[in-house]
Amino acid sequence: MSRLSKDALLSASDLVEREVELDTIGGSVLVRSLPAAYSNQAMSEALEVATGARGQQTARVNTGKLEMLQVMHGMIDPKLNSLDEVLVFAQKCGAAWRKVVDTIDEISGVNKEAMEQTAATFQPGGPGTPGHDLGNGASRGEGAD
Amino acid sequence: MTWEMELPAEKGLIDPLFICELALELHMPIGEMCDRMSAHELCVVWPAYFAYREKVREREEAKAHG
Repeated sequence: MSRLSKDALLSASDLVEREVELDTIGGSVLVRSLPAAYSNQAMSEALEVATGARGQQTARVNTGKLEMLQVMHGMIDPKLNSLDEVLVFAQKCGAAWRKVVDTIDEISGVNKEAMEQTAATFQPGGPGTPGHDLGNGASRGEGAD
Repeated sequence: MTWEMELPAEKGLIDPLFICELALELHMPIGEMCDRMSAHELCVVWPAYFAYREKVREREEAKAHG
């Protein structure tokens, strides 16, 4: 493996990108793992507030809007610049839409499995005490949840 | 009036209170933080680290009180 030049280092990115073949519409698109800006926008735009019979306020997630935001932030070539454009794609291409959303999900590392894997890398026992079995030779002991 | 929050712990959604706590901790506006991080870092790595730190704190506290 060669040593990186300064230019190569500064122009590099470790965001995961993937080409997605869309057989149903005959072509491909380029997607990337989601940036944190997506999470921030999703939090403010995909939450819907409803008032219950007893006056309680409930915040629910609009999963359709969530997927539209995923595609707007995660599909980079071609890039769709507004939710209106994303909506046109969503309404006209069912199978292709699902494949794009699923691929963005897969490479973004924000699903339940990724959370469990990450949580396992932090050993609750603290420094110097045993923690979870990471399945990689690390020790397991008392204090693990 | 009461609030009920039903946020799925997946799909890159972040607890609005947590994102503010993290911004305070990192001394960074939320906008800048979101420009510089991935959703994985914001929604998975940092919450896991905060949970770990809290457990360590509780453990040390319990040890100190015998």
